[in-house]
Amino acid sequence: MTLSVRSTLGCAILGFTVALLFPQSSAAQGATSTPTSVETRRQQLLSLFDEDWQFTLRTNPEWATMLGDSRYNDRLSNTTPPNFSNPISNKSASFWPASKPSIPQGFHDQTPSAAN
Amino acid sequence: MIRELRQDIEGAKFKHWEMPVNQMDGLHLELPDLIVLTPFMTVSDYDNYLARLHQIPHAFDQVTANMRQGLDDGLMPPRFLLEKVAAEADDIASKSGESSPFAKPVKEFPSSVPEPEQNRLREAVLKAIADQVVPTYQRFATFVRTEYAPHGRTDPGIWSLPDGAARYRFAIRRITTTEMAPEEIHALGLKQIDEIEAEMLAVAHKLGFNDLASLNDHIKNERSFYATSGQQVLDFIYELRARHGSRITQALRPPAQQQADRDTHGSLALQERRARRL
Repeated sequence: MTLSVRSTLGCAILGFTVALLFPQSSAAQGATSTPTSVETRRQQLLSLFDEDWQFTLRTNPEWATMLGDSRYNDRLSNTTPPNFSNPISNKSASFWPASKPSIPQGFHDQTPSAAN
Repeated sequence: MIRELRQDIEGAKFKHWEMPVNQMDGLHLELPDLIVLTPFMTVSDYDNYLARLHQIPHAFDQVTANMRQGLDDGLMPPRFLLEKVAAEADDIASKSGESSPFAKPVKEFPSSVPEPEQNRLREAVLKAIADQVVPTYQRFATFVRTEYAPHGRTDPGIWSLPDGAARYRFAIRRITTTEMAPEEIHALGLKQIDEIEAEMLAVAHKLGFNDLASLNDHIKNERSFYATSGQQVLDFIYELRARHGSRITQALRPPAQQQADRDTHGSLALQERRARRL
């Protein structure tokens, strides 16, 4: 999965996810957004998945070790309540900037992630 | 991913982190288990390990604080399981020096770690075990035995906890991905057992047994079904590999696809881990 296309492209697709999580608040915004190409949106989605995956590894260092990812081998998980109690706000710093929603219209049923 | 996030948000009200240990799971067992899955090939692998050992007291402080909050909120695992947790922690605490499970990585070093470094690392790891790991485990064992376990719940099911019914329904949704009621799931299980046993009985009849019990008995007691040596088990695996090796090679995918597969399996493993925290 590509690690390059990040923050700006990520914003749009993050907005898309926020829209799915909170349809009542973001639906109207979705209807007026500028359409982007399937390929761009597909990359945005892959980028979002990658953000999520990297977040998971970073915040579960023992598990990253078990999977053979050695980047966090010198850390243990933070298990204080705020780490669990608000999963959305935990991610917000790098994860949930409100932005233009994107729509998965035109995607293949199964997007091959080996394409990069 | 969206479903998972929604459930994370919804599930947060049940404060699963306030019941972080039981007889099979929890920091006290995860830490020693992690050692066999940690690489020990380079000096920096060992230094990383050392860094983790130094964080053990802090990690237990966090877990213990969550457990104390659970005590206040009435979120308690079953008492008879918590008594086992105390015994497990005691057992690990009682092993000091080189007999500690945490000393395993410094008992033998790979040749890629130079000898002076081996001495430094061995000394530092044993010191961390003596000064930090063992006292932390002792403290934790005492806390569980004297303050925590005595307040463990007496009913086994999570239905007996605060918001028990909602907690149980949430667990069902999260783990089965269905909206089925507990009674429906129980009925489905019974129905499937009947169906499976009927199929097994048909096989038993075909093999010349009168009923399932005599087939099960035969499987349990027929010694020719059991390996008599480790070598026999290995030979069996080698034979399987010889027979199916080429098919396995064919099934291997290009590296990019393998990475994608790993990511997918990773997410599944995470879900499973999260589900177990309920």
